[in-house]
Amino acid sequence: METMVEIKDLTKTFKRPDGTPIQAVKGISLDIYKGEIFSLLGPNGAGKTTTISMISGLIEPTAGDAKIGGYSIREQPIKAKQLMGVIPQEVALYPQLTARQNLEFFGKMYGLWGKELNRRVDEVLELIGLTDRQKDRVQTYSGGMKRRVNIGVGLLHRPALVYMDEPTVGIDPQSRRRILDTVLQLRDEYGMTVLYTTHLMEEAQELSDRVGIIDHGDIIALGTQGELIQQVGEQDRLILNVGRQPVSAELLKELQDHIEGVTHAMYDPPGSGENSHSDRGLITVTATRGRRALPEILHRIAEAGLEVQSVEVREPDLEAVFLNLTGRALRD
Amino acid sequence: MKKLWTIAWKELYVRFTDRNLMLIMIATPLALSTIMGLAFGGLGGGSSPVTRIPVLVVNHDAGSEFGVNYGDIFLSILVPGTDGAAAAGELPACSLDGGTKTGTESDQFSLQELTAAQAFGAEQAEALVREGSIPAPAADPGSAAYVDSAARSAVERGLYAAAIIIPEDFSRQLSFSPASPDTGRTQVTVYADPGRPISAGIIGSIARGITNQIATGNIAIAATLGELQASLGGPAMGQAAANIDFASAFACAFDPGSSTISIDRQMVRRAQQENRAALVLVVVGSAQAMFFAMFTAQFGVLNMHWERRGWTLQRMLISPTPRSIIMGGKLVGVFISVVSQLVVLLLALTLVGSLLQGRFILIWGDQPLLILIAILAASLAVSGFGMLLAGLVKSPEQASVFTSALNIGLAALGGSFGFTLPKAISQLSMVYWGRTTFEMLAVGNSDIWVNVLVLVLQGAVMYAIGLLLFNRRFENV
Repeated sequence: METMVEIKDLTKTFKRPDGTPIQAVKGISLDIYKGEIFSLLGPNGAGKTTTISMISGLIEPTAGDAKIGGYSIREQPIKAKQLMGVIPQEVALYPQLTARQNLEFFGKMYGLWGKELNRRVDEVLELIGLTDRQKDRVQTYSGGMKRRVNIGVGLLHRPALVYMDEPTVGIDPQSRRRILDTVLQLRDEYGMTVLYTTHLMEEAQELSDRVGIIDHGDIIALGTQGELIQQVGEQDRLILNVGRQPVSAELLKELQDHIEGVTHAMYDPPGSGENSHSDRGLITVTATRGRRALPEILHRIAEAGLEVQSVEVREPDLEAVFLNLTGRALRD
Repeated sequence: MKKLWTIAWKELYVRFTDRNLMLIMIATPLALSTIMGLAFGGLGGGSSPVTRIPVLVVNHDAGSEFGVNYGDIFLSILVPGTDGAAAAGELPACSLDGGTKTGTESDQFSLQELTAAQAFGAEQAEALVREGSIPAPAADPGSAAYVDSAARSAVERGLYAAAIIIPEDFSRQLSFSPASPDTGRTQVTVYADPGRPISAGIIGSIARGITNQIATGNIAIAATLGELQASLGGPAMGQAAANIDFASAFACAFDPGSSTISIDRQMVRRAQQENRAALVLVVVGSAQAMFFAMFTAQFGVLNMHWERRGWTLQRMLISPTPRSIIMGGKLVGVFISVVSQLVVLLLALTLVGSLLQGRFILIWGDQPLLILIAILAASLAVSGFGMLLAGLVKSPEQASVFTSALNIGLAALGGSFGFTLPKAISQLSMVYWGRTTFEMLAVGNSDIWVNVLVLVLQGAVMYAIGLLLFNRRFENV
């Protein structure tokens, strides 16, 4: 397979206000192949955006290098950047300008001029479905429409590599669906390579050919979904809702140590992690052949005086991989 | 370069299509200046906004061989109550073209209202030195050099708007005799405070007017006597000369009401009356233009912080466009914005001044090239200041508090708010240098190069430091 992005020992160290160093990215190395959708999956603060900022030439790496289409981002940044289209998480547009003016302005920044620029702008407006609103100022658009223009700007110069940084954050389900379809379209119809960062396991699972899991500035797992899930084995996740009842550390230890097949037990109290907007307290138990262990688990919980309100059994997925590798949920 | 101009054009487009920004850039300073012009300039008639200009008159004139002292007469025109003034006040009636007019009935009231002139000699010089208002001159106390130096110091210290030095040979050079009716050359020196260019300009104009009157009067009398000599012959001339009432002749020659001197007197009055509203527009408008230009420059440069927050700056930096082109484009855009703002303001104020006056007048003077140079220098200075601030502040919020306070402080120092501080303090502000440059041009003073140099240097140095700090801050956006 031909390599589109070659990252080698990429490191970034920042200084805290007190002068002490903090390593945001710890010498990561990976390759991204031409024509694939590669997802960089990790919780907030894992180092995804810092990594991508270095790859896109926005910040200087402390050490290491990245090559885009064979061009070093440190040695030949202009050539490397010409191959890249960036779709940032933020709506990076001038609200006072129309959609067309925004596309024209950023098109010129990528060296497009005259008829070629007009043709590309027309194409992109068609692709994002905003031809009829092209002369309206961006500040009059809905959030979803702004996102579409944001994506359009990144695609205008037909880049070989498109980097999308959590493009679905904070938008409605309909716009989200449209964006995910566009990502697949870019690979399938335009043959583009897509580097997609997300903290949403479902998105990574739906889109990715390969996934890199990043945590604390380090790539902790890399491969296809099948390869990663294989690392977890046949482990199921049992998610038990106990509402607002307090769960003791002793109970978790008992579940983990005394039930056959259980490898890990953890508790998310109401208002934390996945439950940040609910009053559900969740006990998550990772167990080989989880369904077989379920009666014993329920029994022990009942003995502890807790009432289980609902149970969900999940097949192995990327969330389980992350949990297995870090002992934490992806959303923690 | 195409990318640089694309960025600059985008900056201009965004700025000039923002109604709120236009309100701040153009409408507010224009409205303030117009209101002040109407309030203090009026639509004709009324008193001048520039009155009681403090001026020193140093008279070293030793008089002529005939006992005439033109220096005293000069002094008397400006300083009523001096010995010379007493003579002038008691000038005999003069009869010209069938009309009789006394010197005291002339329009000298206007001149005296316009100026607050003081005779200045060794005694006054020593008094100023004693009270510590000026440093002691290096020359011998009581000498002419001592008095001249003291007068100059008094102007430099901002105690007076100008000092007029009448030389010792003033009367001797201007005197004529029937045998030699040609007058010699002499020079009246005017020390002017560049910090008060309008006042200084008016004093310069008055001094020129009076010296012209004296010279014109002399030439007319010399020509008359020359003719008499030619027609009557040598011996007869003596008799004729003996019959001439020199006192009356001189009274007429130096009476501001006489036809010989009326041209110069009118010139002074024209400067005072016809440009009255225009002067207010110049004084207020130039200060307001500088003040609001600082805001425009800062909005432009500090906008980079907002662009950073909105990620449009990063989007540009991620594109295959060198960082220097991006920065250059933005700064060119800001610079052109400020230049455009100043051009529009100056043109609009010219229009307002013309409307107030009822006819077209060039309130900023008639030297378009110098006006353009002044605009460019002022734009560079305020843009450089904006760049410096952009490099110093960390966030747009910090910038808005920080810059407003600094702008108001600099504007107050520079004289934008209707009061003036000691020149040495005012000179710390670029508003002062910009304002006085435009004021100097407005009164026809083309010697603006020191001001231009200061503005350009200030701008260049602040640009360089600001850019350095900004680049360091934005190294890792």
